[in-house]
Amino acid sequence: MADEKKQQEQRGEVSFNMTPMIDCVFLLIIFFLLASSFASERLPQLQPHRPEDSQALPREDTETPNKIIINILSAEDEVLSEDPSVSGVASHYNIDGSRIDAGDTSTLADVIRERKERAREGDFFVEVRADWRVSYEEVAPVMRAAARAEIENVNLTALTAVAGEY
Amino acid sequence: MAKEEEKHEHHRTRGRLRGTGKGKIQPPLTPMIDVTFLLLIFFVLTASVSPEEGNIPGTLPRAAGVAAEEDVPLRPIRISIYPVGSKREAAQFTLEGEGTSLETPSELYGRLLARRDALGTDEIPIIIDPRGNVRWKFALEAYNQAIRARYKNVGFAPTGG
Repeated sequence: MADEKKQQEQRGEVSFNMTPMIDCVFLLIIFFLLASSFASERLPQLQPHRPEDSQALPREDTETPNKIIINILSAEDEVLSEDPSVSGVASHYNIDGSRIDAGDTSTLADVIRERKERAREGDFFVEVRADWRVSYEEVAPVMRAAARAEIENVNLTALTAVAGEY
Repeated sequence: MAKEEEKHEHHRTRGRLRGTGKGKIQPPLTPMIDVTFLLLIFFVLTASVSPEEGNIPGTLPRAAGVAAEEDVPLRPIRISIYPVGSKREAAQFTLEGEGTSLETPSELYGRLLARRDALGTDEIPIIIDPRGNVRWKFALEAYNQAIRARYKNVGFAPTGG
C-alpha cells in the first residue's frame, strides 16, 4: 500500500482518499434508516399544540410501565378536503397502537384500570395526547374515564418551548 | 489476427485501469458509491424533524372527574373560554367577575398573575371552563398560562355526558 502511494507520488498522480467519506456516508445512512423506523413506531401522528411560553417538561420515555398514553386523533386528518362536519371531531383513541372508538369511555376506563393493575403501585399516571384541532368536549370524556378508573395524576401533552422564543 | 491483438490490448488496458496490473483484484466502487449517495439523498429529503413534545403535569379530582368546587375552601377562579370565528380558529378568555374578554394567552397570563399577587396566595383553585366546541388548543393554552402563573391547583370544568 505504502509502495503504491510512493509510486503514485513519483508518477505525479493525484488520488482521493475515499475510505473516510464512504465511512461517513454509511454512518449517515444507518442513522436515517434507524431513526425513521423508530419515529414511525413510537407514537401515532397527530398535531399537539405549542402553548405560549410552554411549561411542558420534556418527556423522558414513551415506554414506561407506569403510564398510559391516550392519543386522541382528529377526524380532520381522515378527510381529503375541508369538511365542516368533521371539524373538531375526534376520530378515535389510540393506546399503544390499539384503536378505541371515540366516545367509548367504558372500554377506555377498563383499559386504564387493567393497565393500572399491571403497573407498580403508587405512581401510575395517564398522559392525554390530543390533537389541537379536536374540541374540548372530545377530550373531557377521556379525563372523566381516567377519573372513573381512580387515576389522580394526568399529564397533558404539549410541544415544548422553543429556546429563545420568550 | 489484428482483432485478437486488439482484444488483448483491451484486456491489458482494463487491467491497468483497475489497478490489477500486479494481479490484485479491486472491486469497482463507483456503482456502490452512486447507489449509496442516492440512498443518502433519499433519506435526507424524506426525513422530517419532529418537534419535541413534553408534558404539563396535573391532577384529577378523586370523586367524579370534575373539578370539585365544594371541596375547596377558597373561591376558585373560573376561566371561561368562548370560541370565535366560523372555524373556531380563535377564542376569548373571560375571568369570572371581570367584564372584559381577553384575546391572547399573554393577557390571560397577566391577569392571572395580577390576581395571584393581589390575593397573596397560589392555593386558589383555577377552573378552566371551555364552552361549546372550543378547540383543545385553547383549553390547553389556558391550562398552560395558569401553570405559568404558578398556580398549584388547576383543573377543568365538567362537560355534559
